[in-house]
Amino acid sequence: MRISWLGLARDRYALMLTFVVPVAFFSIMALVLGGLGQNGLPQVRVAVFDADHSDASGLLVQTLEHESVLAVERHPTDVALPAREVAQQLVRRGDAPAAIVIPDGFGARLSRFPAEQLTVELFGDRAGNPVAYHVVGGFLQRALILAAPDRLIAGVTRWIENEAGPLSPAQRGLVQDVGKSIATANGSDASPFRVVVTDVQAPAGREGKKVVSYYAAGIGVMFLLFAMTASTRGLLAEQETGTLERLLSTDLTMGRLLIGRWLFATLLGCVQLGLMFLWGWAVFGVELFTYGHLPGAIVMTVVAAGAAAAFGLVLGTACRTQAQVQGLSTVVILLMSALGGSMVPRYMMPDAMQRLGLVTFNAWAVVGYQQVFWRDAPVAALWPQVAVLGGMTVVGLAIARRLARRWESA
Amino acid sequence: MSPPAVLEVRAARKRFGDTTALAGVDLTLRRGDWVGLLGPNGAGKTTLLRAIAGRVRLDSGTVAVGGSAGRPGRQLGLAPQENALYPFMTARENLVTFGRLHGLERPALRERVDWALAWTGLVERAGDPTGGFSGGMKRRLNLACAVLHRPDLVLLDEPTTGVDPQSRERIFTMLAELRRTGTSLLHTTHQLGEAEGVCDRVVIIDRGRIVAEGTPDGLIEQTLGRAHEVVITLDREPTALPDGVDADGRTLRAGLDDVAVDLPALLGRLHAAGYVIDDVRVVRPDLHAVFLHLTGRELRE
Repeated sequence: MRISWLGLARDRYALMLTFVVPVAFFSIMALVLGGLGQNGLPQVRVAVFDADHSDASGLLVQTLEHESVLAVERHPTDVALPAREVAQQLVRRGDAPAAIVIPDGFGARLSRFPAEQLTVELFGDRAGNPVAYHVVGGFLQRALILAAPDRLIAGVTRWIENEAGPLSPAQRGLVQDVGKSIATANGSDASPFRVVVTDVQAPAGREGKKVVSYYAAGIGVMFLLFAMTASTRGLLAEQETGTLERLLSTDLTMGRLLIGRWLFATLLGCVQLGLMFLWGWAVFGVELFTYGHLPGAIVMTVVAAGAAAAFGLVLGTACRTQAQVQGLSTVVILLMSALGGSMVPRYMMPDAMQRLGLVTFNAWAVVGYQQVFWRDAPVAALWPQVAVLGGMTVVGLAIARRLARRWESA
Repeated sequence: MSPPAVLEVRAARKRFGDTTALAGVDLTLRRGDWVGLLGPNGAGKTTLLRAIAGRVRLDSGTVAVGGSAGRPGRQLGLAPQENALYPFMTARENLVTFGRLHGLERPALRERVDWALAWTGLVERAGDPTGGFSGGMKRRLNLACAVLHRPDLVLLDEPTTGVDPQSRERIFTMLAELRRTGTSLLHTTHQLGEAEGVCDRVVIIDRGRIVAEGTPDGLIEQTLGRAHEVVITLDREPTALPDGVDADGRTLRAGLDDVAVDLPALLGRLHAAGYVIDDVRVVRPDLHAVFLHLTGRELRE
C-alpha cells in the first residue's frame, strides 16, 4: 500500500491522469452536450424569412420562438434576391443549420375558407446536420397547428356569417369543431398545411453507410493523433538514450531529423487511416470505391496524416520527458476529439461549441471526410479543409523546429 | 617538428545563467595524442567536450578541429557516456545506421562495418539485437559507432563506466590500437589510475579552468615533488615524535625525499625508543594526491 501510494503521489503525470483528466474530460463532455433542451435535443438555430409580414405569419414566428429547442433568427426579406434563394444559400454555406421561408400571401390564404393549401418551406442539410433537418420540420408542423386554428376558425365563421347570417351558439360550436378537426388532422393529407422540406445538398439516401463512414473518420483521426504522438515521442527517447547527441554530431541536422520523423509519421498515419477505411469498406460497406469517393479520401488521408504528424512533433518537442508527452497528449487529444466531433457528432453540440470545435484538427479532418463520404464532394471542393490542415501542418512544423533548437546547441 | 594540431581550443568561455562552465580554456591535441580530461563533477568537462563537438555555442573563444572552426563534421567521432545505441537494432544495423549518417557509403561502409565487428570482437553477435548485450559489449559497440568513419579526433566521455575489469582492458587495447593509426583521443574519466596508466597527457580542469596539464609523472613531480609518503604502524601511541612526522593514534606519516636513506634511519630511531614496528608502507604519490592538492576536492565530489 505504502509503496504504491508513494509511487503514485510522486508521479505528477500519473496523478493528473488518474484524478484530473477524468474530471476535465467529463466537464468537456458536459459542455459539449450541455446545450441539450428539455427534449434531449440540442438547441437548433433556425433562420426564419417572413416574406408575408402578416399578423398570421408573425404569430407563426412567435410560436416558433417559444419552442425552447429552437433558436430563431429573424432575417429580413426586403432584399433583391427572393427569400427562398437567400435561405438556400445560407444553409448551403453552413451559416445556418436550417431555414424557414413563410411565403407572401400566407396570412391571406389562412383567412379564407374553404382552405387553400398553405405551404411553408424548410431548407436543411441532411448530411451536415441531420438533427436540425428532422427536428425543425417537426417543430414547424407543431407551430403551424398551434398558431393557425384561431385564424382558421375566424375565417370559417366570417364566411358562414357572410353567406348565411349570424350564427347561433350551437352553430358556433360546430365551427369550432372544424378547428379541432384541423388540429387533429396534423400531418395527414387532409391537413391544409404542408411543410415542403428541401435538402440543400443532393440527398443520396445512403444514410446507414454514411453514418459508419462518419465514425470511421471520427475514430480514425482520434487514433491517428495517438499514433502520431507515440511515434514522435521517439525524439525524447533518443534524448534519454543519448542517440540524439550522437545523431547531431553526425552529418544529420536537426531540420533533416525533424523532417524525417514527420515524413515517417505521415506515411504511418496514411497506412493507419487507409487500413481503417479498407476495413470499413470490407466489413461495414463504407463507400470507398464508389461514387468517386476514392480520390477525395486519399487527399483527406494525406493531409490529415500530415497535420497529425506535425501535431505529434509539436508535442514531442514541447515536452521534456516521455511521461510529459503521455500525460499532455492524452488530455489534448481527448479534448480535441470531444470538441472536434470524433466522439459525438458536432451537429449534436450547442452552436458555440460547434464554432469552438473549428480550432481543432479533428473537426477539419472529420468535415473533410464528411464532404467526401456524405456529400460526394469532388476533390476540388475539399480546398478549405486541405488549406486549413495544410496550414496546421506548416505552423506545427515551424513550431516544432523552433522548439527543437534547445537540442541543437546551448 | 611536432605533429599537426588536430584540436585547438582557445580562450573558451561559456556561462549558463549565473554558473561559469568554462572560464577561458586553452587546449591543444596533436595527431596521435591520448589526453585524459579530469575534473570533479561540475568542473566543465562535459561542456568542453560538447563545445568541441559543436553542441555548445561558446560565449567567446574558438574551437578548431582539423584546423577549421565551425561544425567539426566527419573529422570528429563522439562516444557519449550513455550507450547511444538503438536496442531494437542488431549490432550490424547500428553500425550501418551511424556509418551512413557519418557519410560512409557502400562498399566502404560494408568494409568498415566488418572491421568494426572484428575490432569489437562482436562478429559472432553481429545479427543480435543490442538490447540483450552485456554492458561491456554495448560499450565496445558504442565506441565502434564513433570511430567507424575514421575520424582524426575521438571524444570519449567516460568510456569505461559500468564495465568489468576484463572489458575495461579490452577497451584500452582497442583504443591503443586506434591511437597507433594516428587517431587522437580525448577522454574524460573519474578513474585516476586509468588516466595515469593509459594517457600520455593529463589535463585537470576545475571550476571551468585548466589547473594543471602534463604527463602523469611530470604532474606528480611538479605538484608534489619527488617525496614518498611513508606510513608506519606502531604497537602503541607514541609519546614524542621526530621532526617532520605526524601521528594519528598508532599510525605515523612522514614525507621522505630519499626512502633508501631516510627510512632506515627513522625506523632505527623508533626501535631505539622502544617501539615495536607492526607495519611499514611506502606510498608513491599518484594523480589522486595531485588532484586533491590542486582542487582541494575528491574527484567525485
